[in-house]
Amino acid sequence: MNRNSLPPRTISSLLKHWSRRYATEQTQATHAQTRPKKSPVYVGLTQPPEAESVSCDYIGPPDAKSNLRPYVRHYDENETEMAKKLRLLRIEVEKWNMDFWTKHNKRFYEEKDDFIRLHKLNGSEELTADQMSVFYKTFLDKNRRIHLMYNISWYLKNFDMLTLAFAVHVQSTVNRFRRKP
Amino acid sequence: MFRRLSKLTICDHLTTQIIPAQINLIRCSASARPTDNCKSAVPLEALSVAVPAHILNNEQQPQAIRNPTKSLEFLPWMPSPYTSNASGPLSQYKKLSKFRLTSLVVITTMGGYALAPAAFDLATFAMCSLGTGLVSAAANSINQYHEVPFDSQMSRTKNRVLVTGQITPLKAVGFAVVSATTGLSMLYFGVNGLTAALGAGNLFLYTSVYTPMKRMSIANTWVGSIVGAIPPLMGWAGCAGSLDAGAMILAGILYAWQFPHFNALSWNLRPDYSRAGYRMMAVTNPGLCRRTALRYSVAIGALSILAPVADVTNYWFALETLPLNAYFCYLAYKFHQKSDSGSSRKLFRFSLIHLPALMLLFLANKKHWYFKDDTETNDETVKSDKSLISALPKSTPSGLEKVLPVAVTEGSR
Repeated sequence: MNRNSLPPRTISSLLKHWSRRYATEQTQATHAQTRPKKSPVYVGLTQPPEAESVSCDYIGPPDAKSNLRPYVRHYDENETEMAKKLRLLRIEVEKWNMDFWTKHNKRFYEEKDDFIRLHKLNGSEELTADQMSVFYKTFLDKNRRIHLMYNISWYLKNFDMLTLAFAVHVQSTVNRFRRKP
Repeated sequence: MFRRLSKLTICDHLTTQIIPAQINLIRCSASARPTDNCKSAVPLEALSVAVPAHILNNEQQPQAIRNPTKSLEFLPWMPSPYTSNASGPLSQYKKLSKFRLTSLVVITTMGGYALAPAAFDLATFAMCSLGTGLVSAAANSINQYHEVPFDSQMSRTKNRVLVTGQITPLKAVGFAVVSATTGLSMLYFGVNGLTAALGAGNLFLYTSVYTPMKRMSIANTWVGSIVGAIPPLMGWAGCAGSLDAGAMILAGILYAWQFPHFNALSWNLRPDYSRAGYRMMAVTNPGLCRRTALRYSVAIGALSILAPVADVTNYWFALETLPLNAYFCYLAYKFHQKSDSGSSRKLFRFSLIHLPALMLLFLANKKHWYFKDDTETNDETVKSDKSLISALPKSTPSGLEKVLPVAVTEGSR
């Protein structure tokens, strides 16, 4: 290999043999090829795990329809009452969220396609951004009440999850201190 | 419980440092169903090791993650709170607090402080800037906590830490509470009450008025502009102790700047905003969007000319800001005439340069530079009359007087 022919990497030899080193210099690409391949370290999982078999919650890639990321909430046999309540609440809120956004996004894309098709029928080929704005505005206006209701519900549910998570955290900390001594 | 393993190739440096019971091992082979996120160059015998965050943080970190020459690949399903690189929790808090936006806010506060007609005190200056930064970080964290499902819909925000599960919501809100308390205490005890009140008001306005309003009416942009105009007022109040016409000019310029800045930013994101349910001018009233951008950029020019009249700067300021504001108005005019992604991006990018440049010009042309009033006169009065124990310092309103009245009077002796 080329490395054996290179002079040692000390300062004096650097100065003396810089031209030879320059001549035998490998580019990034060739160096990467001759270097022994480092096996990359993988962190995480490729498939969603079972809830009982993991020791912490897992989050997955975004769902194609709702754009939300699914969670796998873990549990084991010494899960307290409150922790169980929190887990079930989280699962329920995540499911509700995913349902809402799946339906909402489906509606959005369908109505957008209808709008574009309608315009194409009327003769104009490509829709400018200003013309699309008409669609965006009507979509927002039509869904105003739905969005408002969703907003209020989401804020309340989020706050519930937060307070319960805080209570569970306090409980587990207290238990840890009780168990240690 | 564990998946069936056929052949294990264990990374030596990992096994010694991870408790075996807590490892989930999956053989990631080329024959497995490849998901979209799975890197294509998956070697046959590669192993995926799930390292939950609590192990990472509590025990020794696996050599691979600390060693930057090892390549780290993240698979689709990650343990929920996790750190995505070895630089630790600080980078996560930076992302949570929208660090670059917070720095811009702190710069405007520092500008407000430096422009105020009172002496510059390094201690209160530092407290004011740090306190404002912390309050802004808290506001941004609460905003991100509230908007998780909406952020996941928009491509600009879908990689935020709460959306990707790198931080739990409890931790984010905890960070916000600690940050807000520290920031507001710094402002109250280290600067003065007016600054703290403005900071608290701004925090409330941003988290509880602007954030819900984003989904209810387009008036949120006006509220958001007020939120942006308050930090320089905080800096001014921190130095001078009160607000006057000059402060209003500075706040007015910042209020007006928000419009071209935000309208240009939101112009390209109209489909995303519409699907996520945000009500922005760019979506519901594009004509108004263009008009306000132009109108307020002209207002910036007008206010800059007014600044010397209000005694904030000298008259050279009006001359120097003319080219800067003229170019800004020109870009806003171009955006008004032909609003497309090119003109909006140009306007947005220039607005990011325009604001710091304007602040620098303000500083360079400040009317009077106030230094600390002579302490010799104070000393003389004390020396001449030995019975006089305390001579209250004349100039800077230092909030520390509230906390340590004895020390201050002792020090002035």
